[in-house]
Formats: sequence, structure tokens, C-alpha cells
Amino acid sequence: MTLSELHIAESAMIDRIESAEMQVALMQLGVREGDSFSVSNIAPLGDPMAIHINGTKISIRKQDAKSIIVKKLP
Amino acid sequence: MKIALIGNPNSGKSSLFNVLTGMNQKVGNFPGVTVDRKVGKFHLEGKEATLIDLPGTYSLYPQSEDERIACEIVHNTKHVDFADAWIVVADATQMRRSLLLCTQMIDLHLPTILVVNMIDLVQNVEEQIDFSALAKNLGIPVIPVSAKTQAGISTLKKALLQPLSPSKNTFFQIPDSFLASIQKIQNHFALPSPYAAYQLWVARDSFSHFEPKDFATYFSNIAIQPDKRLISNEMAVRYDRIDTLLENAAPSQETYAEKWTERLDKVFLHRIGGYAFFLAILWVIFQLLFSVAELPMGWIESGISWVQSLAHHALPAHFLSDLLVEGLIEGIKNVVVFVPQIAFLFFFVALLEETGYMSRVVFLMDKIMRPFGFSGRSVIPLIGGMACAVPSIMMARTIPNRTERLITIMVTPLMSCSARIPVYVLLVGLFVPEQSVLWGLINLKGLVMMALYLLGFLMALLAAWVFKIILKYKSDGIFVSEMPVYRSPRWQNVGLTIWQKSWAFVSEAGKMIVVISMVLWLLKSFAPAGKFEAVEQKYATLMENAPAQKDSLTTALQSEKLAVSYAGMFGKVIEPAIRPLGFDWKIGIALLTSFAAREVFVGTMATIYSVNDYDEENPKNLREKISADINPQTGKPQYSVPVSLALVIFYAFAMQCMSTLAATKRETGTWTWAFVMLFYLTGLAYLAAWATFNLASSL
Repeated sequence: MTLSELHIAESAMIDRIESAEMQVALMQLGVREGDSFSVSNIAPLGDPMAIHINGTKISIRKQDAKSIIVKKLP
Repeated sequence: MKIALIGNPNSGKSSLFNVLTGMNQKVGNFPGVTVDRKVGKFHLEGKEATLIDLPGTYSLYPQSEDERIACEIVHNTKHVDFADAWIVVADATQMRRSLLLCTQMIDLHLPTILVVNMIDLVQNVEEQIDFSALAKNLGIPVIPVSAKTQAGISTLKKALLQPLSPSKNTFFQIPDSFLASIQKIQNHFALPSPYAAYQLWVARDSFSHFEPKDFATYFSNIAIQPDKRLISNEMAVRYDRIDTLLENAAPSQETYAEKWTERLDKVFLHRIGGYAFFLAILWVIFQLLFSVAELPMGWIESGISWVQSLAHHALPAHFLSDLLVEGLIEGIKNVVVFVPQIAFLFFFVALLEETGYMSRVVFLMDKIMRPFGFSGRSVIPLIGGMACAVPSIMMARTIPNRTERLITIMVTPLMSCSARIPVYVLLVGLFVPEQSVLWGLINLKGLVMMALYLLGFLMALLAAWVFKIILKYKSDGIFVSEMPVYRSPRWQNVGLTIWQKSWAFVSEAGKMIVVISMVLWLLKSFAPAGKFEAVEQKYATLMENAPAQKDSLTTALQSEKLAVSYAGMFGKVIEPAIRPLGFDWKIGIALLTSFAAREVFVGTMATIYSVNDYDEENPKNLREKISADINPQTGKPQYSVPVSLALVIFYAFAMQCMSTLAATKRETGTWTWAFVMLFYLTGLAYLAAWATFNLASSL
């Protein structure tokens, strides 16, 4: 499943980032494949979403979140 | 000695800059772009050092214009801002990420110091981070500081006095297969390290403005094309090394600030509560803006008027005295009167940025703003435009994307600013009767005023959408951004922002405003030879015959003098062009003089119609005179409903504000966009007024 399908408060692990550009953008913020996170907020109109990861909070647009493949954590 | 600060956004880099330089700093632009260039001076044991605050960047692979500037300076040994020593500012709560940039700087063989900032936010920081081991493994000095508590600042200054040499460590080995080409690139551009050559090769598209002239052509001749994955591969190697470096560090735990941020965001980003809170903040800003900022504006206006009247009495009656008092001092007043609004709005904007709330506004508004080619950050400038376009255009600087910034600047003047209110009050009164509808619940005039605000807002959206199409802008680029933790504002930063923005307006846009004010005054005060004398003679005779009417004759004299002046001639010359809108030469004069600022329209109309004592809030006697004006050609009232409507529409859209023009020139860096704005807004106003006039006349 992709990041865009997650709901608020759900936790997951980044499995793969499909877009090379997205991978660089996230790595700059200290985020790599294999890191786990939780969904903190989703904007009232459903887009963008904010994830809490490695001690920081990152806002990602839904469209970009589709290129991030995640594994849901219990 | 030249020292540069480089570091991630939100690492407290600017706070450190402010702590080191204090008031001893200057803000300008980097050559060719409107990105803030902050340079300051400070003392190192008697010797003066220059400090440059580079735009925040996460790595040396630029993703935005601001980042590109920082990266190009690092690579360009001939750049004026290329430093003798580089301070990498790291966030103590984000060590892993901060070290990414640090290891890149080390691999460039630049003399670097790592400053770990915000240690006040980490409990038992010495136990968490082993600074001496880090210094040994990185091969550079590592200094823990807090810009907030000023801890470690003196240690940092001492470290800067020591001779600094580049680290001998390398964190990323360039793959063997590329080494030969990299060597060639390094030699060709005389770069200080192979890694510099590697970066320029891998990310050459991002360095399109890099200085050597043959930069682009040189790379197109290289056979091996860089793969996009090379950057992420390199970063992965760096993070592996960094994770070993930080291995002994205690596992990072959720900080106090993080916990609070999560709690606050449950409220601030709530689907209803979030917007309610944002609206409440806007309401408070506007209330304070109108109730508090209006006070000093009033003082400035009356203070300068007082100086003008003093000067008038003290100086001999001469053309030069008038030029000084009514041209120059008036022009200076037109500049200074903006300062309270600029200072006030930037106080709030700095507060929103400092506390971290601004990134929440972006989060809430992103989806709504995107279809129009705006950024989530455009909200504040657009809403600020309802007070005044000048500070709002200056606020657009924080929009990271160039096109989104430009679109925001271009449409902000369409929002109904406070200077339109006196114009609307006068004109709406001409065609809307004092009447309430719906059992007295709704005042008809109030309703029309509200419709005008709405019209400006809708036109701003439409114009943005058109600009988006013309500029071929696609707002679907990757957009990930950090939402920093909430923190209390650093008041020194807030104060410096207010000071810098006010000063930038006065010193840069101010000159142009003074010049235009003086030109407009000259046009009003001069006439072709003999014209003024004839009018004066005529009134001198009239006054002699009827001394009792001296006051009303003096006002009539002013009116007639304006009619024969160059401004009056201008009105008559453009009359054929504005007649399709139903406007006569008198309105033509007002259009010219109110280019200084919209509200001047009311004053000019009062002079033209020789109204002595008009009141801006309730221009009743002026309105009566205007209504009584008969068009000599038609024999009907000049200000029929269609004409008044057309005039209101014209003022809703037209670029009747020289200060906005000056601010646009400053913020876009070229006259081109300032003139595009002038022509598109005037054209839009003309067409809309023409359509309104014809439509209303045919009804």
C-alpha cells in the first residue's frame, strides 16, 4: 500500500520510494527507506498529510505520497 | 577574515547570525536574484570579521532557488561571498540530518567548523552527544552552542581565531568508473576538490547559473550521463557513515517540544478548529492594524503637516520654498506614512514564522491555493493586501517557488486595500441611496462596499489563474516541507525583521515615491506661461468687488488654477480616451494625481469642485457639488449612475498607487514586472469600467 492510503494515527514503515526525486527530497530531511513513522495530521481537505518521523514532522502532498510504498505496522 | 554560515532551514542559523553581529548587519539581495543577502561584522579580539548568512539548505544538491544560491557560493572560489572559514550550523535535535550537509562540506576540502546549535533543547546534551569524539571522527572543530542562552558563543569566537585547515577525512568515495571524467572536470574548472567536480557533474541542471561561461556546453560534451539515483546513493553512503558516528549517542527520544507540538497540532490543524483559529488570528491582526497602526499614521500625517505649515511661514514666498514644502516634504510624508503598516504587519508575520505557526497555515491552505498557482504561503500576503499591498508584496519573499511568488505579487494589488475606502465612500454615496433593506437589517451602502471587496478578491483569483496559464506554471512539482516544532519567538529576530523591512522600504522604494510625488506636484503647480497670471488677475478683481466672498473665491481660484495647470491640460488631453467610460477631463485630472495614492482622488475632487471643508468620513458637501455638476454636452448630470459605477469599478482594479509600483520593482528585481503590473491592472480597469458604463447605460 502507499502512504496516501494511511489514516491519522496509523503507523507504518517506508518500504520503497519509487520516484528518484522524491527519494532525494526525503533523504535531505533525514528520511530513508526502512524508517518507521506515524501519520500525525491530515489537512481538513484531505491533502496534504503530515507524518512524524525521526523526530521531525514532514508535510507531504497526497499526490507525492502515492510514490511512497509503505508497510503498515500494528 | 570572511566567515560564512551554512545550515538547514530552522537550525537557528539566523539567530546565531543575529547573536554574533547584533545591529551591525545589512540586508540586500544576492546579485541578480531577490534572495536576502545578510552580511554583518563582528570583532574577534580586536580584528574585524565579516559574517555572511547563506540561505538555508538541507544539502549541497539544491532543490530551490534559495538553496541554489548557497550551493553556488560554496563552489565558486571567485564569488565575493566565498569565505575563508565555513561554519556549518547543526540542530542538536536533528544531528543525523545536519551531519549530511556537514560531511558534504568536509569532502569539498573547505576549512569548516561544526556548530551544534539549540543545545538548550536537549536534556543532558553532553551525555547524548559525545562532542569530542565527533570532532575527532569528522576531523574538524565541533562547538556546542545555544543562540538562545548564548552558551558556547565565546568558545566559538576563540575557535575562529585558531588557524583552520580542511579535514583530512573523506566521507564519500567517488565511484572508480567516474574518476577519470571527474579529474578532467576538476582541472577544467580549477575546482578545489574532486568532490566539487562530482557534484557539479551530477547536479549540473541545478547549477544552470554557475559562473564559468562554458559551464553548460562543457557538460554537454561529456559522454557519461549522470543517473538520477547517484544523488540518493551518495546520501545513503553518507547516512551509513553518520549512523556509525552517532552510534554511541543515546537513542533519540521524543523531546518535550515534540510532545507539545503534537498536542497543539491536534487543535491547530483540526478540520474546524484549525480554520477557526486561523480566522481568529487574522481578525486580531486586522483589529490591531486598524486600531493601533492608524494612530502613528495619523501622528505622522499631522506632524508633517505641522512642519509644512511652519516651513511655509518661515520661508520666503518663492518657487523653491514651494518645491521644498509641497513637493519634497509631501513626498517624504508619502513614504514615511507606510512605515507603521509595514512594521505592524511584519511584526505579526515574524511572530507567525518564529513560532512555527506559518508552516501550519501553509498546511491548511495548500490544497485551496494550488489550483490558482499560489503557494500556501500566499494566503498572508493576499489577506494583508486588504490592509495595504506594499507590505504584502514584501511578504511574498518567503514563498520558496519563484513563479508562485511572482503570481502572488502580481495579483495582491487587486485586493481592496484601506486606501480605497475613502474613494468608495465618496462614490458609492453617489449612486446608492441611504437605505436599509430586509427590515433594516442590511444597509444598502454596506452591501455594495462588501460586494466591492468580494469583486477584488475574485478578480485576484481569476488573474492568478490567467498568470498561471501564461507563465505555463505547473503546480504539481514535488513538495515536501518540514513543519518545525512550536517554540517561543526570539524577540531579537522579530525586532530585526521589523527594522530591516521598514528600512528597506524607506531606503529603496522611498526614493522613487519621492520623485513621483514631486513630478505630480510640479504638474499641478505649473501652467503654460501667462495662464496662472490671467486666472489670478481675474479673481483679484472679483475679490475687490465682493470682499465678503473672499473665502469662497479663494477656493474657486484654486480650482481654476488646477484646471489650467499642466495636470489640467493632461486631463483635457486624455479626455477623448476616457470618454468611452463616461469620464470627463475633471476625472482625468483626478486619475493623474491619484496615481500617488488612491485616496488622493477625494482631495483632488474637492479642489476641482472647490469644496473647502470636506470630511473624508462623510463627504456630504463634496458629494452634493459633484451631483450638481451638469455635463455641458448632454445637459444632464455628469455623475449619472453609470458614470459613478464605472468610476468605482475603475478604482477597484486600477494600479493607482506608486508605492505598490516601487515595492514590486524591489521585490521582483526588475522594472519589467512592475510595468507589466501597471499595464495589466490599468488595462483591466479600463475594460471593466467601459463594460460597466455601457451595460449600465443601456439598462
